[in-house]
Order: sequence, then structure tokens, then C-alpha cells
Amino acid sequence: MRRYVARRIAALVATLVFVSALVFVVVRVLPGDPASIMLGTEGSPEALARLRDAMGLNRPLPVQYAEWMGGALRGDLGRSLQYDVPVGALIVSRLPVTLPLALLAALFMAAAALPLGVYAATHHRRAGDYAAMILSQVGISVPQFWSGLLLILFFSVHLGWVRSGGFEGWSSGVGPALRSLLLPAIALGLFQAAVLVRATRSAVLDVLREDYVRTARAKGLGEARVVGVHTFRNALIPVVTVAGIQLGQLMAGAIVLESVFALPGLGRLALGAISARDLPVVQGVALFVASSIVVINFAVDLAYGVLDPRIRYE
Amino acid sequence: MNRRIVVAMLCAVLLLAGAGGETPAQSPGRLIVQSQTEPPGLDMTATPATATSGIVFYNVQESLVKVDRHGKLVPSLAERWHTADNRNYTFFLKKGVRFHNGREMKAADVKYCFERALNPETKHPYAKDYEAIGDIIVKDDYTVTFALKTVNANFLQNVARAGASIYPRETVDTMKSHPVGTGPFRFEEWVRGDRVVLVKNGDYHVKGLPKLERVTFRFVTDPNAVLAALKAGDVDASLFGLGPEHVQDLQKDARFQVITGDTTNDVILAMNNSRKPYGDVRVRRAMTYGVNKADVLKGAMFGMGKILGTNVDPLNPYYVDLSKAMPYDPARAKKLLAEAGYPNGFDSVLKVSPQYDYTVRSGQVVADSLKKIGVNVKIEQIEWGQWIARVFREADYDLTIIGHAEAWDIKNYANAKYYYRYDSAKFQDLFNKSEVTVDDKARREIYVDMQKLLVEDAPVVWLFMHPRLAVTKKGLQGLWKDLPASANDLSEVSWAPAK
Amino acid sequence: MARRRPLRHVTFTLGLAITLVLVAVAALSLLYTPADPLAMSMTGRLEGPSGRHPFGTDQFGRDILSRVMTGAVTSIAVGVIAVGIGAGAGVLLGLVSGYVGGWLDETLMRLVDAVQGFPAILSALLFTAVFSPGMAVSMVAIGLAFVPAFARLTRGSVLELREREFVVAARALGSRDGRLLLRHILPNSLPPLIVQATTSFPVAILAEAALAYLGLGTQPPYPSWGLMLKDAQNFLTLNPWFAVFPGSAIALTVLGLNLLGDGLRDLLDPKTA
Repeated sequence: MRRYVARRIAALVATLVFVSALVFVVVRVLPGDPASIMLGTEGSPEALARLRDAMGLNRPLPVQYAEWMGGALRGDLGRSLQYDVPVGALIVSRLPVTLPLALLAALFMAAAALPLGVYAATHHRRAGDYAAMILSQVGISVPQFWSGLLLILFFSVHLGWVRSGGFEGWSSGVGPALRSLLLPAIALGLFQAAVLVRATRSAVLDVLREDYVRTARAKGLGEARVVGVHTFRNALIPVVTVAGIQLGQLMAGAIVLESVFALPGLGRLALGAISARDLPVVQGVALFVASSIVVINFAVDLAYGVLDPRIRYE
Repeated sequence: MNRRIVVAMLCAVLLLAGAGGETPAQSPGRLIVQSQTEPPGLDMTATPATATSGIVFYNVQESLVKVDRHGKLVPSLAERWHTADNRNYTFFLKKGVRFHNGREMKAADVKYCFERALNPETKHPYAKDYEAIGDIIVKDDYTVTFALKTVNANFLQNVARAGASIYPRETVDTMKSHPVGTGPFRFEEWVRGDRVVLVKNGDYHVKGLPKLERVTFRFVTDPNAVLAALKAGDVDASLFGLGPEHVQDLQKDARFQVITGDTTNDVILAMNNSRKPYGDVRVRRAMTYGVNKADVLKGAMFGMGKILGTNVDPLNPYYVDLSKAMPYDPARAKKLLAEAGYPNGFDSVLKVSPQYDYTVRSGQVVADSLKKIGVNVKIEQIEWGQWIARVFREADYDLTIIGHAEAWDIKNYANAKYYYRYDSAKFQDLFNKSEVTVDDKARREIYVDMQKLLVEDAPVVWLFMHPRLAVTKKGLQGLWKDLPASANDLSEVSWAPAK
Repeated sequence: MARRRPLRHVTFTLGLAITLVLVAVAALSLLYTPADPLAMSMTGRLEGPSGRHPFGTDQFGRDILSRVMTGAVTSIAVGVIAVGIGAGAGVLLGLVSGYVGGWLDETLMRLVDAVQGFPAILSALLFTAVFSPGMAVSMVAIGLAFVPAFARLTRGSVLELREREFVVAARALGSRDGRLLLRHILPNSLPPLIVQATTSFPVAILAEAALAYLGLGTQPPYPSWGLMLKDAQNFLTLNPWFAVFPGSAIALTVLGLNLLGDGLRDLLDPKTA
């Protein structure tokens, strides 16, 4: 096990180096550099050349990358070109928005999807199953930018219960902060929940048809026990896989919803940084996202072993 | 158990939602303004972004001379100025003007700011505007003279620009994140990604101003989110960023007032004059006759805005209405195309950036109307950063649509390297003459000639002036109607007393 | 076995019927639409449904029915092909990775992590900078983004199935690896993959619209469902119908594919005889 963990850590580092190199090359190769974007349609070619020089864009790419890497190894991710603050601090300042948002969405996803999926499977081809599938059908078909807007129109504009967007920060109190994250979390979790419902239903249905479940039933075990103990645990492998994939996708979905709800989160930060070719910030966010994905998948792999002891990693 | 979780979740949701859903209702002295783009730093001597000047200029930092709401040059930090020969300008500074850090503004500060702009080390984006300055002489604490190397008819205009604002030298290093100036509002905080907050400068040099205590600029990009925020009462005003369809929607709502005024933003269909077939003036004229500008205005802007015939906006003192000089005339367009050797038209690619939705919308109507004269326009959307690099800097394009918001940007037609690649010695001569002609009447004549020449040469197709589309809650007063300068002057803005 | 006649299966038949109707509409649009989907009319903008325009008109006065029909071609093609690319590559990766295990598994899966961790907008921008705009490019770009999900799902199933009695038995009887994977492991890992494929479909349609803004895929004035839906958002109060029709078209397609998927699942499952 210890060797396995060590191997995973080595793989994490390799993944991060790979991602950072890729991000670096892509951002630098794309047409449009931070200096020309900052000047926009103003500024003479001479002014542009001077700004490029000042931003250090004229030095050879390997030198620039090595310099960034040197800093990163010492924990210094550089300074944002547009915000003029250290990238590390910038990312840390966005986490209190994006992490709770993703967490709330994940909670919503799990709390809505798992019971509903099990219910649908155990009531296969009955009214409850169809109702659950129609709900999930709607959830899958409505894009997040639409569900976000509709939630705002109903809960903020029509009912006036919550703010239409923005984030005052946790210092203004846990209640208000959670309130501003509630709608975006629901919009974010809705699609993912709809997908997870189907995955759960399908997985449980699959296991319900297995021989040993039939045996358990034949032995006269109560339905609750059959579903609870025998089925669910075995059904969990694909469910856990899908949930892991979706946790990773929550980050991507957060970009859309942070824009709709005007939240100062990581997704919007990344989007703005890519538009401005603010390389240090793009790098920082990409590394953060890639590490979270690697960690999520590590957890998923560990969960496989717990759920099915036959799965082992040498 | 599952049911219990669901019930618990529902309760939590209801509790959260019910727990005093306070909306930041409008309170006297406070204003929340939506801002579409977050500024790339707050230092106006480092970035030309309108997102920056839209917050900082006139509110936090000011210049010697100011363009007022009618487009007139009026005193600001200089209470008056004087020139005898159009070469030496002497400014008499207002006394007792204090920076937000408490220090008095003096002539030495003015000298410092302009010398810093001229120093190539500082990468000032508009250094070119001030290169005519030869010497800056401080006569005493309140008198400063600029000795110009050449006559520069735009000198006062340039002194009124955002890039010429006056700031204390001791704050230069932190200006990007904490601007200090003499304006009616002090900078308080910039919560990256969310808002910039300004508070009243109690020591402002104009008595009785500002009227507001606190102004918050909140960054909301999505226009539909802006509309919802207005309707939900979460922001008091949107000064830029709503689409024409949202403005139409709000016009019907008694809670809001809509401000539609003129701006300096000219939306054009640029043609690459260095590429076939746009090198031929007959083709360019055919394009002008072939675009139904009234339809473009309807389709893209719901009819709001003004049709343009040349590149001087209606707020410019030398504006001549030439919008009907080359009216929509497809038959004539076809004839011109045939004369130029394209009786069956040709294919062309139009690159537009969705960064500005009105350009994509205009492009669709332009393509639709050009199809009728045989010009098949294929639209390609392109990300803004790539538009800047490929279209604007490298002129790698056939056609593009963009709004040019800078006032007095007729100068770009005198620059053969500008992305239009319009190279006319005649126009360049006229323009150079206008730059050294100080007499207003003579200068106006040159400007009229320039505008007429542009119509003749048709280097681009001028589509329309993008209108100001601002919406505020009822009761907000003192906002500018037109926007002759790239700023949102909030010093005179206030809430009408409740009836 | 003989009892499993596909068309007797209600879910499958219904799903097939919906899907075929949609494909037929898409095919029809190549030959006939009630109006020219590109023709503008500045006097009839944002109208609700009427006899002349059964689905109403958009902000340029274009006929929404004709645009939904024409958009079907793009949207269905993008959905099917992008999901196909993602599933094809992902399943292959997942099979190999899960079955072989060890360092190869680790390397492949971390590569997949890197693909997922790499900002999608950045890779889309790279595509726009390198390739000339076209439908094929956007299909590949979207398909690549689907690879991680399919790879992980397949790998997860393989890891579990690899140790199951029937696989162990087959291996003991001398089945070759390839045969084992294709005959025993793949069919048993299909259910979650089918769900993933059907739920990826609307994602692909919307991603196509997002790419269009970067210059890949459908460019205006040509319609696609995703683009129409995004456009319609601005006109929610002026003409709500604008959103309803392309939105319903997407929902209907997803419904058809879900039913088809559920039916297939039942029909292919060796356990439901």
C-alpha cells in the first residue's frame, strides 16, 4: 500500500509537470499576447513593443518556462499580469467561493440522485420509475446557463428570496454567504444529479438481476435488506466512477454558473485569465484543477478496493 | 432514511431562503453600478482600457482640463489657461486642491506626471499624444507652462484625456491596485473578481460635490444576469453592457429610466484596402451602396443609434451629417462591381468577435444584404485576443466589424499602416494640415473636407453610432446623457429626495 | 433467446421511433424547409407562432421552424459523431488500462487526468488557431473531451469484472485476452456506458454552440440547436417561443436516445432472458 501511495504521488507530480508545460506552450503559441490584448485597439506599435519587452515576452520560451518552474518549485506561482497580485493569493482568495459551490452542488447531486436512482430501480417500470426518469430527462436537457437564469428569474426577481448574484464574502456571515451560493449550486448540481440518477438506476437494476440477489430474495430476505446490503454495495462501483467524473466536471460547470451569478470564483478567474493571456494565473488554476482531479481519482480507486476487496493494485 | 435526508435538505433550503431575504435596497447616498468588464488594473497611465477609465477617470483622478457632458473643454484642475502663440500654453492651477493622501497638488506634480508619460521606461500607452511637448516650466506652485516643439491643434484635447490625469508621485508604484488622485471619490477597495468601491472625498475641490457617499462598481458580465440584477433590485444602474433588447424590455417597466444618448463609438465594416478586391475604390463604393444600414440598425440594435456616413461622430464639434451621401442602392452597387470587373460578385470572409455581440449581429445583416449584390460573405467568429493579434495588428483579414470608441479617431485614416491599410496622400496632407491649424473656422473647413474625401474614397463602410444604452432605477439624477468622453462622471449624481 | 424480439420491447421501439423521426426531419431539411432558414425580414422580428411561421421568428425575422429543421442536421451529427469518438477512444483506453493494470494503467489514467485537467477553452482555442474552421474539427474537439469519462467508466467495470467468477473461469479455460475482453468483459460493462453516451449527447450539442463562438463549428447565419438556444436567452421576455422550440428539439432527441439506450441495455443484457 505504501508503495502504491508513493507511486500515485510520483504520478501526480508527473501529471502536473506535463499539464504546466502544455498550458505554457499553448498560451504562448496562441495568437494574441497579454501586451497586445491589454492595449486593445489603442497604442502605437512602439508602445506595444515596449510593453512586450517589459512583460518579458521577448525572451526565449524555454527561459521563461524554466523561470516559472523555478519559482513554482519554491512555492511562488508568479504575479498576475492583469491584477498585479501574487497568483497563489489570488487562487486562495477564490477558493472560498468555488469550493463551497462545488461542495454544495455535490451534496445536492448525491442527496437528490442516489435515493431517487435506487427508488427508480426498485420500482422498475412503475409510476415512480417513470416520474424519476422524466425528472432526470428534464435535468439533462436543460443547459446550465438556462437553468441558472430561470432560477434567478423565479427566486430572485419574482419571489425576491435571494440575491440575483454576487458574493459579499464569508465575513458578512455564513447565512448570507450560503444564500448567495444556493441557487448556483442547485443549477450546477441539477444536470449532474440528473445524470447520476440514471447511472444509479442502471447500476442497481444491473445488480438486481444478478444470481446472488435472486438467491437472497429466494431465501426470503426482506426487500429492504436485499437492496440495502447486497445490491447497493455492488452497484456502487459504476456509481462511484460516475460520481468521480462528475466531481471533476463540476469545476468546468462552475465557469458557466459563476458568470451567470457574477460570483468571484476560480472558473471566472480562469476564463478572464485565458482571455487576457494572463499566463501565471492560467497556470495556477490549471495546476489546481489537475491536482484535484488526480486526487479525486485516487479516492475513487481507493473506494473500488473498499467496495470490492477483489480489486487490488499491486 | 433517504426520505429524512431529503426532508432535512428541504428544511435547510427553506430556512436559508426565508431567513430575511434582505435586498440591498437603494439607500440615499449609496449607488451600486454594474460594470461589464473588470479593469485590467486601475492605473490609467498603464492601460487604455475603458473598463479602467470608466471607474477611475473623473471619479478618482482628474486632469488639468475636462471634457464636460456637452463635449466642451472646461477648467478642472487648472482654473484657466492661456496661450499667445499656440506654442506655449500656461496653466494656472486651482489653489488648495488636495490629493486623497492629504498633500496639496502643485505645479511640480503636473510636471512630474507629464514627464513620466514621456519617459519610454514607463510604457505610457499614449506617450505619442504628448511628444510635441518640449519643455515643462514650473513658474511657481500654481503656474506651469508647456513649451511645444510644434503647433499641435489637439494639445488641449490631449491634456483632457485619461492618460493625462494628475496623481501624486509617491503613489506611482501602487497605482495599479490603489489609484490616488484629486477626484470627488476616494478609492476604497478592489475585491478582485467582484467589485471596486469608491467613497466620498469630503475635501473635494468643487464645493457641494460629490453628492453620493459611496459608489460600488459590481462586475456582472452576462447581460441577462444584469437584467435580472436590475429587476431584483440588486444593482441601481447599468451604464454599459445591456443589449438593445433588454433596454426595450426595461423601457416598459415603470421602475426604471432608460438613458439613450450619443457616444463616440463608431461601428464600421472595415475592408482590407491592401487586399483584392478592396484596393479598388469602385468595389469599396459598391460595398457602401450595397449595405442596407437601416436594416443593420434594426437587426442589430433594434433601431437605436444613428446611421453614419463617415468617421466623425455626432458629438464631435466638426460633425457633418453625411449619412445620406451614399444611400442604400443595390442597383448602383451592382453596376460599380461590374465596372470593377466583378459582374457576378465575389466571395469574402468576415471576421467578427463575439466579445461584442453587436458586431456578430451586424455581420449577419451585412452578409444578408451583400448577398443581394452578389457578394457572398462567409462569417467566421474569432476570439477577441486573436482578433487583436490577427485582424487588428497584422491586418490578416478581408472584412471585419468593430466599434471604434475613441474620440477624434479620424487620425487613423492618415496612418497607412493602420489595419484599414488605407493609403491616401491627399487625406494624409489634409490631416497633417488640420493638426497644425489652430484657428477654429479654418480647422472646421479642413475637417469637412476630410469627411467628404472619406465618403468619396470609402475606405470602410461606416455603419452606425453605437448609442449609449444605460438604465437606472427611477430617481437617480445627474448622469450624463451623451458620452463625449470615455468616463462615467458620478460627481453630480444623486437620488431624488423621496416624495 | 427467441423471445427477445427487439420490436416487441416497448421502450426500445418508442426510442427508435422518436430517433428515426428526428433523423427523417433532418434529412428532409436538406431537400425542403417551409421557408428559407436564412431569409431575414426586418418587419417580422421576434413574432410568436402563427400560420405563416408555425414556430414564430427570431431576432432577424427568420423562420424558427425552418431553422430548427436545418439545425437538426448539425446538432444530431455533432452529437452522434462526437459521442462516438469519445466512446470509441475512451472504451479502448479503459479496456487496456483496466485489464493490463500496473504501470501502463497508471500512465494512461494520469494522461486522461491531464486531458481533463487541461482547460477546455484553452484546447478549443488551440484548435481554432491551428485548424481552419470546420465541422469535423469541432466534432473531434468535443469528442476528445468525452474520452476521460468513457475511459474511467470502462476501466472501473473492467477492474471489477476481471476478478469475477465467470471471467476467471473463462481465463482458466484458455480464452485469449482479446476474446475475453470483447466477449465477456465489454458486454457486461455496457450499461453504465450506454447511460454515459445518452447523457453526453446534449452536452455535445451545447458544446458545439460554445465552440461556434470561438470560430469552430456552425457559424452564423447558419443555425444549430445549441446556438439558437443560446441566442434565445437574450430574448426571453420579448419572445419566449424562440427558446422553447430548439430546447424541445434537444429534449426530444435526448428522450429518444435514452429510451433507445434503456431498451438496448435490456436487450443486450445476458441476464434478462
